[in-house]
Amino acid sequence: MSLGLTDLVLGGVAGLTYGVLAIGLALIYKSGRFVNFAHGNLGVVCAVLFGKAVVDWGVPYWVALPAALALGGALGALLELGVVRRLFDAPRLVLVVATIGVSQILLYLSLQRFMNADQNALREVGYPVPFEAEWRVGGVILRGGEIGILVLAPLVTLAIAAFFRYTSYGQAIRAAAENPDAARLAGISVRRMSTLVWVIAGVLAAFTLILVSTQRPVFQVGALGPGILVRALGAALVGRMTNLPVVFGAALGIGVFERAVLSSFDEGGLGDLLLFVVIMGALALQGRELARSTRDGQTDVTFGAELDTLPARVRALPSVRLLQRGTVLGALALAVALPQLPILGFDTQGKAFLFALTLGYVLVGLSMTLLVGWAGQVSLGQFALVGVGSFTAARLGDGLPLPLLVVVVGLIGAGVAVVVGLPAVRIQGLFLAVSTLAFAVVAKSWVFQQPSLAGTDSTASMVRPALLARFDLGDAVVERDVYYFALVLVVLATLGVRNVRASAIGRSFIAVRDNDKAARSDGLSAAGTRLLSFALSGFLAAVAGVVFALARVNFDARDHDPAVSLNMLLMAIIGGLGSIPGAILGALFVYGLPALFDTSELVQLLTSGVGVLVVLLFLPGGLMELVHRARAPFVERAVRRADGLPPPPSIVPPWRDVVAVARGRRLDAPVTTGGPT
Amino acid sequence: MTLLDDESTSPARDEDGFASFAAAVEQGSSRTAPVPRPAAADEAPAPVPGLSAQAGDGEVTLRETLSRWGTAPLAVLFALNVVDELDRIALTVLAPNLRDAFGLSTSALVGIANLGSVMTLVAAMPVAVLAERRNRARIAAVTGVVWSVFAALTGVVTNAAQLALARVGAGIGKASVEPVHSSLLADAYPVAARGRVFAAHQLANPVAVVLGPLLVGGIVLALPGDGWRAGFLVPAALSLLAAVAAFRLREPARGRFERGHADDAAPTVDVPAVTLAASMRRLLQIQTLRSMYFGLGILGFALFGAGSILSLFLEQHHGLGEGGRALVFAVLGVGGLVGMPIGGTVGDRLFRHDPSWPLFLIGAALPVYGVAQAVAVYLPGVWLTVAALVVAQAFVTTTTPAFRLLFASVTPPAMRSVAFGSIGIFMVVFGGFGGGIVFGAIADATSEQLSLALLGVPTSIAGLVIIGGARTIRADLAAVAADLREERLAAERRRQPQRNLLEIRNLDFHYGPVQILFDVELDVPEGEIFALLGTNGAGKSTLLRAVTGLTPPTRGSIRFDGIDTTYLGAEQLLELGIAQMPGGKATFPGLTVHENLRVGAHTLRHDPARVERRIDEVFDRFPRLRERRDQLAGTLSGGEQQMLALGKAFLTEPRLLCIDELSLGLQPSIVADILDIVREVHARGTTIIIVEQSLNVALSLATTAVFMEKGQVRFTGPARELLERPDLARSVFLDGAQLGGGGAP
Repeated sequence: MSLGLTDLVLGGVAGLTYGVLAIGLALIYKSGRFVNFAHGNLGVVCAVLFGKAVVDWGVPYWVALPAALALGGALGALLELGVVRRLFDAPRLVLVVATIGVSQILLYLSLQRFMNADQNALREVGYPVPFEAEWRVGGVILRGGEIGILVLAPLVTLAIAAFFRYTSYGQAIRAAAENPDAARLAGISVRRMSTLVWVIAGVLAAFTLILVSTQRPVFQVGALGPGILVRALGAALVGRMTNLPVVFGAALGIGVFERAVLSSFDEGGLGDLLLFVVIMGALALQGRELARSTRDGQTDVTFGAELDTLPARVRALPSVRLLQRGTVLGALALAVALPQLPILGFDTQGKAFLFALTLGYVLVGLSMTLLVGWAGQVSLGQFALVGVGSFTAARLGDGLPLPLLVVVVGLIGAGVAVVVGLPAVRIQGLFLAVSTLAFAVVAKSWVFQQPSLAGTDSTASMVRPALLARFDLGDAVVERDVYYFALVLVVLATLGVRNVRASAIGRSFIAVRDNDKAARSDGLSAAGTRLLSFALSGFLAAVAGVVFALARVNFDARDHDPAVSLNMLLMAIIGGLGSIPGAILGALFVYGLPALFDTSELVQLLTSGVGVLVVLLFLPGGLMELVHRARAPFVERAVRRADGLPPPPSIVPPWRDVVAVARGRRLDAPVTTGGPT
Repeated sequence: MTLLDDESTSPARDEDGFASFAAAVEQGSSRTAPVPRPAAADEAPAPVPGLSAQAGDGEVTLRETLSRWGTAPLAVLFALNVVDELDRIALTVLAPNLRDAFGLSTSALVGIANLGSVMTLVAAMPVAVLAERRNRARIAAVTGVVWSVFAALTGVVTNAAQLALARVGAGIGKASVEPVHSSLLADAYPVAARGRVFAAHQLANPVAVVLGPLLVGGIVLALPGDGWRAGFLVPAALSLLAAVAAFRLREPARGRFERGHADDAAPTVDVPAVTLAASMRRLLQIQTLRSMYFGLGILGFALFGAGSILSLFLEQHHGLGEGGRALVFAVLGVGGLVGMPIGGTVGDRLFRHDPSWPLFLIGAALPVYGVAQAVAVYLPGVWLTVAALVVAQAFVTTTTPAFRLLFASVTPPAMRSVAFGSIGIFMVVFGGFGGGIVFGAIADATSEQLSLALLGVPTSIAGLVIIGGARTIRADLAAVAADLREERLAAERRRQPQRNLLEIRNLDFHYGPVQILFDVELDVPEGEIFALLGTNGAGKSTLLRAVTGLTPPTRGSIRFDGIDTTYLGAEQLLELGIAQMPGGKATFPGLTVHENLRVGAHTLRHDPARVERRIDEVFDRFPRLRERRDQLAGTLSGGEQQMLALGKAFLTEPRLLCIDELSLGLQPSIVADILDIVREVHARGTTIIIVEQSLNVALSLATTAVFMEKGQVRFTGPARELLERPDLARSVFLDGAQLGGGGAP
């Protein structure tokens, strides 16, 4: 591996862009203690419009730039006022997920044709650059775009650092982040400071993306995916999310390092692999420090009270039991009947395929509930584990009977999950998110490209094993058999997960999540408990992978994009974290609804992006909160009856009286309000 | 809770409804001291502030009301509202002209029109906040002028970008209708006629729907060519006239009818404006309002996409062209013309009889609307369909005045603008978008007929949810009455020679479903040192947090120097002179000592010289801090941190200083030093409330002791007397002895 001047310069350019992005992430983390996944896409929207303004409308660069930056600031403020502020007191994970939702909406916006410059014109003149210049350094020619990054990115970073260090607003923001109550008592409006930070971050995001966009041969927004994000996150992580100079330095280092690797080995995905190794290393080495910093802040993943479960006494009431069993049996019956129903084309092959996939997502949802809901570890790479399951199933599927295949693949998934989780085992919460996201990126760009896994054409093919043929329901639609097989797995997994929660294992998950010190003093091994949660969740995810492989037959790395892993988290939160029915509901809402109604990709995006926002803003407990609210009056009635109390008095007056009064008659005596007195 | 008995509905009739107000006061106070009442009292209607509910009264007609209280407010606001609506109609009717004139596609035009509507929605909240603080009549006038200007611009624009700009401006101008007009009308006319007043005001919509197309169409026919521009200019001109008239409207005092002094007396004290977040929090604590908002959200889910699906249905099922559909929609307006006055009149009657009954009007009308619409779409022939749709429209319109009548009565008068302003947000954002997608998808997957028929499901659910409000409306009205009573009593107390700096009344605090504080009452005279004592978990710190604005209470009131500070935030209270030194974690560990002090002087930041002077004074007082000037606060010792915290509290020279856990974790010699400093602060005129675990420390400082237990105040009196009450004092001692062994923090 050699490092020439060329690599240094080009790596530096890349590193600077990661650095400015990382600073933006660290800014929000500093003020709110959560990772803002919308940062990049917020900038993308501004960069796209900026390009349109300059290329299509002929606005001069230095006129359009302030406008685009102002738009970034305005979007940042809008986001803060509309979403972040509403969730001010919510668990930080909810905020992370909300920003993922926002990010999807922004992405959708930036893909609209009316937002983008004319592609032909853009190809001709290129994305606008700040300077028309050419510098020759070593073997490379630097043009306006690179020069802009080399000059402006450090300047902006310095300006931001100075703002926080020396100005009274900068100090107020830091104070508000460190100790909100004390800041309010000092007359600082913590909310206003939060808005201010978001405005700054929005401007920064717009600025960054306008600079970064010059580095793309043909302007393509989709390219700013998790790949860049994970580099910025990695850098931010090295600087413990808060130390801006270290964050910036780490980003530079990553850029140069990656460049050196790329110039030495010519293989795509290798950069991601090395980055993955770096992040794992950083986590393993810095684990103790990071753990301390999070514990001080009491920050990352704190969950609200688990969704209220009914007391045992209430659950034992016959009518409540009837309601619960009835719901379960009814849902099961519906699930069995669904692909046979002759309405809306449910009985077609295409629908059966979609339904089978939905059940696969239900399995992933259960694995997320176990990991995120109970063990309190955030995974952003769950679908990569699913991919591990799919690819190994395709590899082994030929030789093994299906039940054995499920178990073997599950065990492999568990092993991989443990390896990915190992460095994060000492740390609670969001840091597993970074290593799993890195895994998701490297899985797509490297692991699933390996010929030994995916074959030479990078496509895996699943041979549907014999079990389905032998127990063929006499059905021409094979997808329906896959669906029923998946349904059996879902039922088994649900029962299994339920038992885990009811057992000592489930209790230890929650004990370690809530207070690992106290758990350790009670003789639990925190590290062992966490590893067990990774293993169980990885097992389930890989089993889900078998379902996907059976349903899809042919698939490749693109089916396991890191973006899907983000959706898995959305799904878990929408349903209601920590609750088994919630996990199922979440998957049904996000993937089942679009499967039911033949709708476009647009609606799918809306059920995840907009849906997650609505759910989070109005039902912080997810869809399960709605279920519990609807159930409450029924349960109350049942309890009152069991206690020998009269039912709650009716509030509905006799309609005759209402009509009489409405017609202007006056009732002499106050009429009865119905209930017994 | 007990309800009003028959005697309390005093037979003496009075113009301003004060008797019932007084009765309501009784009602409110019964929460603190339950009075035994006859069992039948449970069935009596709840008192409504400002509404004389005597059984023998004749109904006051709208005409009488208008002649007594003036026609001008209603007439002017109606005129402003009707031109707004006319303009909206003009945009629809003149769509082909606009399309041709600017070469726009239909979807672009719809986008521009929606842009205006979105602006109305977005601007409603800022306008509402403004309306809580400023003269509403003036805001109505100014926004009316703004609207007129932009609406007129629509008539003179030359390209699409200008058109969009004009619509955005007009959208913003229109934002004042719900928050400003409704709130203004609620104070302009007495409670008994509100339903009809709102009905008259909201009649603007059906009037414009019915007459608008004729009017605009007539103008276009009369003036061919560019004559369509007059379709926008004429409403704008009319609106300008109305807006000018609105400048002459008098601003009624907020809640004057509820207060009982219908004379236009200005509020006794200038209340600092509560922030929007605080208002919303407060409003959402009103259960009836919550269920109405929730119901409106579900209703929005049903109604948002209904118009366009209906339009598609008429086109595909009945083969109606553009003109035919426009005609049908105009005819539907007739349903509104019928439903609106019925809703107002019936709503008023029901409300007079029992304030919960209008909820049943809404709860019944919404399902009937759903059923009528479902029937309509399956009826043969276009005329039968339209007739049934008119009936449906009439029913759904009756809810419009009923909703506003209830909104006005359950919200505190000072927060009505925000309450009205958020209706649109709840309807559109909460329900509307999702509903549009879901029912659009159903219509695509099956048929427009089924989709429209299914709309009855959410409307019925909305009806049920709204009826649920009947459980809580009495308590909510009583709470409004109690607040008004407290305001009145506080004003009376201000006239006494002996004034309290801090007055706490009926304070409840809930943390989630758990109640922490129960009906706390406390008076702190100026210049005292109060010690707040009690076991762990007694609610001392919670009470302190409520006083300093860190966590707003659930119910009750806090007054500081006569100003209602119940819902003000800590950052606002600091400006009034309330400071708190939070226990244990009062510093910013990642900032240096000097930065800590600069942040502590944040409110003085516009005068840097003064800040540095004050910081110097702090350093003079605590030389140790000067030595550690550039050290991170997190690295200071416990005693130094407390000094820094006290130093920060010094900076702003508060009138009331609340200290939480002064001596926690400090060694005794340092405690003595710090106590001296606290005494010094007190000597300079600061009133102090101190929460202390150590009884010795507390009693060596305090003149008055307050003993709390289980969220209630058990004892208030001279500190010495507490020592003579072994039953109380011992629990504090014991608690101090077994530190950390107490209940939940």
